[in-house]
Amino acid sequence: MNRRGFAFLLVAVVLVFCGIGLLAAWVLTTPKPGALSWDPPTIRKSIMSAGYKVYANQQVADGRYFLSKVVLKNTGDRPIRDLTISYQIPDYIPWTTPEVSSELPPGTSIVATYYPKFPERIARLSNQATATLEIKLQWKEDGAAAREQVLRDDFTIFGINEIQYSDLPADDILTWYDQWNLAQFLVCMVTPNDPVVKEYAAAITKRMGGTLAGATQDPEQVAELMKATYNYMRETGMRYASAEGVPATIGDIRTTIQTVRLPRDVILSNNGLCVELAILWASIMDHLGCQAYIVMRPGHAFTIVQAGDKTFPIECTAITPKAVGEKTDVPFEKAVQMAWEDLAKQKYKIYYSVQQYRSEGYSSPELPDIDVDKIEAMFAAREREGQAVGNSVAQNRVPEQQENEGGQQEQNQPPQPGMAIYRDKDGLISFSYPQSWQVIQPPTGLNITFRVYDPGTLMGIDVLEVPNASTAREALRVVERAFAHNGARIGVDDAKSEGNLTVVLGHTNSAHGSNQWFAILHPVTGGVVGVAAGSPTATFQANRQTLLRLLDTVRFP
Amino acid sequence: MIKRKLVFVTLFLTFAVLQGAGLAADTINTDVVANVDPFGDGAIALTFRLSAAQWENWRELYGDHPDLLWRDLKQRFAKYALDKFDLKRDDIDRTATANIAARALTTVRADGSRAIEMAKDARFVSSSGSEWIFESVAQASPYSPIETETTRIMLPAGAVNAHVETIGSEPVQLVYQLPEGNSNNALFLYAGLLAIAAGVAFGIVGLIFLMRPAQVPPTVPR
Repeated sequence: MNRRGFAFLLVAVVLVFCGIGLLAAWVLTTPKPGALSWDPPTIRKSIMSAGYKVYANQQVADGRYFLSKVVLKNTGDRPIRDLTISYQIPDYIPWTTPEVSSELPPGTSIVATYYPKFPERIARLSNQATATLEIKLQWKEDGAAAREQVLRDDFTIFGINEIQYSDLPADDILTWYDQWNLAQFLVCMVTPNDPVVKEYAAAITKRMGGTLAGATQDPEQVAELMKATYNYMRETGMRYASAEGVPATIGDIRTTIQTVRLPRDVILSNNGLCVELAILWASIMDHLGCQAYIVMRPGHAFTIVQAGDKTFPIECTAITPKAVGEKTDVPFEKAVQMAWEDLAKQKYKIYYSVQQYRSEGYSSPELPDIDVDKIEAMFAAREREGQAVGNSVAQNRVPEQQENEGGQQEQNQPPQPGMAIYRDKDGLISFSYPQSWQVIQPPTGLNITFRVYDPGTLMGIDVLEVPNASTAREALRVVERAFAHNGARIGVDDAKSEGNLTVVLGHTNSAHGSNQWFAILHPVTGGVVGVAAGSPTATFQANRQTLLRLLDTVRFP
Repeated sequence: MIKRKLVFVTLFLTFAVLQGAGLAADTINTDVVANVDPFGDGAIALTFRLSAAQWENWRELYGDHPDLLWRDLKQRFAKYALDKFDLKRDDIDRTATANIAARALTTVRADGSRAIEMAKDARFVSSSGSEWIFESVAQASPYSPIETETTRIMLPAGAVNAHVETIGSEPVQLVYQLPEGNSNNALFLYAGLLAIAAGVAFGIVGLIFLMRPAQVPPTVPR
């Protein structure tokens, strides 16, 4: 009788155990919810504000210049839904419109790269700044609430004039080329449509009769245009200024950061580094429709212009003879020859075709507006100054001819109203200066025999007398040594000689500040005499014209 | 998301051909085999053969420096997630094979289908089962050799409705669907619950039987 009960119970126990087993199997085989995982995002350590348009363009260099890349993977067993990714760079870019993936199946990955569209104002960043990139991930896992995660990392934004030449980690650099793997960003600094460059190019073509010679591919016309450009730069006082890049370390990247000004700044200051002059040349030529290349080689840069099947390299720094080891003016033809010789002897060099790189997306930054009328006036003033310097040299060359024609009379002419005249006691030199200026005792031991200055503007004139020197160069060396002995340094930026006269553009740095000056030197019996007219560096450009007018009055016997 | 295009030929050869003089008339053939797994990741094998001059240039730049090749590869294919790289070369035959493992070769579209972006100049050649063949011809400049690339894409087993799509003027896409695996594990749940319920029922019946008073067989009165 109870056997039946026991049988039922036995079956019940078996069934319960089977049921538990089946439930365990259910639990074990039930898919886990979706789970989003990611590798640490790859975030660019630094960007250059001059190339902000490049970073926005995912087509450039096959998308190489992303700001961030994050690989996301669904490591769960169920799909992840509505995965969105958005980005923010506080102070620069608000949260972007999310990129949406409606479904990320189990086991699959996506690569999310970010190409930031910075506002134009980033091009006004003059110094490097630190910014933060925020990456917001939002997603839904089946049967779970929506999730969100924000990833953050800092990066550096270089100022508009800072060029970073490489983004390779230090231990990845093998060849010279590796150190310049970002140098193509220089093309971003070529600004053919900048109003300042346009006006500069217009001033050059005006000298050629107003024709846009460069718009043609005729090699002869292009060569003429280049010659006109070169001569215009020389005559309007453009000069080469030397500076080297500064090694910098950004994370594990060791690179060279160089301050490279935009062509408009080079034009406005009327001086530039080799690379700045090369970019200016490329901008002018590009504006005029010529095919321009920037050439980088170890320690130097210059420009090549191609016209038809002919190529014209130009040593841009030859406008300053000293920069290329010359004592006198370097004519255009020689500047071209120098560039050819340089190209021939360099093993390492890279050519950047401005047009090609621009078509690939290396675009120029948007620049602030500028008063074009003022620019035109400045160019006109420079042209007059150029003529004044030329005249000064020419006039002082003439006395040898004029001596028999009343040159002495000119020296004895009464001064202009409001002007005083200085005449050396031996009659070696004379010039006019404003009566309002103060004559002060010159410092001793510096070969300065007379000093007059304007207390208001700090412009001043020194008379130099260097006994026993036979040439201007020798006299300058003596003066340099004398200044060095007193803790000041003299630098010669440019020198132009014609006949016995040497006109020098230089600067003096000391603990009291820095000055820029023009000097005219002339050898006489027993030494060299000269006049230097200058002002503090900060106001030199503004006073330049006045100083040149004063130098115009200098007369030698 | 960023579109990725399956084109690899310039990866190895651009520098090589730019360095070589007088190579403009040459043609370089490259075979690419991309095996796509069910997760959209892939293994790519790229094989090419070069002329003696090209080989010399390529070897100097990359062949002897696979580490630099890997570095440049990651930079130039920034939109991909490249994981592994291996280079095998045969100096006798002047051939080399690069093996690359890449994640996210495919994208998942809104309708759940998978898509592989092809290069703009890719031309569909043929398909057979899960194998799809494309060809592309490129020349970096008039002074560069002509580069032809034959790409064989092996879709994952189970891929269905594979076809080539053109979206407007956008490059072609190779689209396919991958049915989701059935996970009918609910059967375990229902069967388990049923078994337990039945066990409980049997248990109750069994207990009823056990609790009933024992039946006394009828006896004959004496």
